Amino acid sequence: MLPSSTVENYLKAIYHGVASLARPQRLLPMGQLAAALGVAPGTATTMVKTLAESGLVRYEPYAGVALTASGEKLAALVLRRHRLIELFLVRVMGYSWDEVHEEAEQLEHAVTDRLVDRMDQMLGRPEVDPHGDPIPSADGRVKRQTAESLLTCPLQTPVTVTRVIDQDRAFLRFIESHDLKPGQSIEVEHRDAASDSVRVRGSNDKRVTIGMRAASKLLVHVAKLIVLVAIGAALVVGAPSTAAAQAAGGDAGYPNTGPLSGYMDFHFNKTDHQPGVLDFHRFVLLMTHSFTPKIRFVGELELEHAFVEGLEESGELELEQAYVDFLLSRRINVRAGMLLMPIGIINERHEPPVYNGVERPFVDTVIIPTTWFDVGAGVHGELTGGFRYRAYAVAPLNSLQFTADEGIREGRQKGSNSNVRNVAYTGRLEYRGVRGLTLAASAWTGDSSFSTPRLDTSVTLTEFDARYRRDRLELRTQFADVRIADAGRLNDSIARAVGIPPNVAKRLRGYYAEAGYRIWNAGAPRDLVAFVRYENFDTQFRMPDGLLPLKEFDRDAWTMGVTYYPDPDVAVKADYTRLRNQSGLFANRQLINVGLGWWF
Amino acid sequence: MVVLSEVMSTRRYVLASMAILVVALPNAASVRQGGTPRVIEITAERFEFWPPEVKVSEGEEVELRIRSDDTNHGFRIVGTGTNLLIPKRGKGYAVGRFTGSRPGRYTFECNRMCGAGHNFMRGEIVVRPSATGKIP
Repeated sequence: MLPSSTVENYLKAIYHGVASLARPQRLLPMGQLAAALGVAPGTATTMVKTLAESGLVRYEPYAGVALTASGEKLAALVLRRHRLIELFLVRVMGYSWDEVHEEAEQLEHAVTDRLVDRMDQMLGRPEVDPHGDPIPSADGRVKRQTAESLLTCPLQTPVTVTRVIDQDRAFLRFIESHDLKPGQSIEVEHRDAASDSVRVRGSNDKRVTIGMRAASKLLVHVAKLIVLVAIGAALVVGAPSTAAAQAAGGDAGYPNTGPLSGYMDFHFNKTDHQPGVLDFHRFVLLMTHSFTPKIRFVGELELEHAFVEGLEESGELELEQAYVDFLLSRRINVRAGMLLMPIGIINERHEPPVYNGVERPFVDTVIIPTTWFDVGAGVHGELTGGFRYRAYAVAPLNSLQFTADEGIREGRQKGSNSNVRNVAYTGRLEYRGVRGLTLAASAWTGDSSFSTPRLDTSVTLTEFDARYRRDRLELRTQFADVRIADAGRLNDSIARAVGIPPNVAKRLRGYYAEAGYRIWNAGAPRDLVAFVRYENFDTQFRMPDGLLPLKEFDRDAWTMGVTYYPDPDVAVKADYTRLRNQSGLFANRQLINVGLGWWF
Repeated sequence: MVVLSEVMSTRRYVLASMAILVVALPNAASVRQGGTPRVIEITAERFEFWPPEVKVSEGEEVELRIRSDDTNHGFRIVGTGTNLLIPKRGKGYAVGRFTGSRPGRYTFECNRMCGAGHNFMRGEIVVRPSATGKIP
């Protein structure tokens, strides 16, 4: 028999009542239950005895009542209906969040499980309702939330409102009017016990003082990376009154300074019979700041391999991006600072959850030297017909650092006192006129002989790539070709400097094709993707006169693996690579990689 | 349905029926029903919105449903108060309303840092004049 609405209301009231008890108290006093339901204590006691006979509650005379396991499950299912209905009314039917509680109170007893499941599916299996209350699963489980209130969270620390635990309409309207709804980023500036007040700084620097009681009803989540903020604190703290003025001028929404984003890569790598290594490959922090809605800063600071050796030449703390964007129009915008070269798929899209494989493709390592960045300035924007472009003038490469196995990679100046005796130019044109498809061509060209002015080692890189993503399938392909002028004399110059001819090629070439398929969806947002990639790359593709190619650098690779996403921002990766070379002297290699990467 | 009508008040019955209707018609996206605004589905993915351009008639109110195919994104229509957080892939969608009160082009953009190409992530709502005329 289905429980009546009265039974459900009792179970729900006991559920809430017990949850509000201070530990170690386990039983809800009958007086409190009667008050919560607005009935006489005798009425409540009679009903509770009936519920106890049904095995839904445990009742101890003169002590109180608690739910049994089956009673708790039933209560959780009522809450599930209630909270899904609330969310449905807000998202789909346009109700405001302060008027849905009463409707849901009625509807929670009337809707069928089938309808509720359809609502759940349509809403994308949400975890919380409009007030931030957790939505129990269809089997009655409630995800445990760890949150602090505005009374207990750290002072002057960015926190995010996650839940409002009072659904009184007037209170909800107050919360909304002061931008304190779930999802809002705020800071508690000051608590004053004498006046029972808490001063909160909200978005756009808006300040509001609320009472301790109201503060206790707002639960927040404290960002976990606060300890890391020290590095970027100067860039983030105090983000700015100018922006508040802008917002006051009717352009709400900025500044939205982050405060901090980032991505990380943690890898296990094993090659053939060598011992495996664990490497915290990348730790990257991104910072943003908006001076005005149209003038914005983006910075990206990367620590590679978790360690800086201290010497300037071997340090691996890199400033990969630090630029200011002047957003003029959709068609044309100006950017200046430390820029990512707009070359290939990976260089501008290198967050670990975005690509398959623990390590980046070889082509994006030895042909296109990702992450490729340097100082410069340029323009970007969108054209008609689905085209988008970037065009920058940047510091050139240093050809004296070119090598046989990694091509131009070591020639990057990385904005560290970059020599700009010559200027290089780079650009990219993308077509995105068809859903899921990106076709692109990019190029980089520049005289890279500032260290050897008598040479003319111009470097020209041309690249084409395509990505197609639809439903479960993602396809990628990329082709890159590098030409180094005057490579013969460049080899002579380097040989004179270091004593060994470096065997730098006059042409490098590489390409790859990859197919990924979402083979398993464990209920959004969890996914499992399988992929296979073939790469062919040769850093000795064409040699200058008088030099023979080193065939061990003419390579191809098959990589296959899986990426599991427990969350869209977390990627657990595992893959196997067979790396072959064309030399008869050097053995082919097998690599096993396992990685954990995330973005926040 | 008979059983439902026995246990619900008229108002709740209407409300639940509407809910069933919406659930049963997930593809109602481009269908205008009575006075309800037209629904426009937008997908956000690093570093683009699809479609990148949305057309609205002057005076028309539309409901924007924005879903992410990867991480959290923001959705801000420049010069208006619209500022939404788009939940991650599989965690639902953000809903916003937009009324084309004046013909013109309105830029929308991601305003939550989503990666290296974040500032490229923009699109446009084009409000066409009700009479034939050029969009400024």
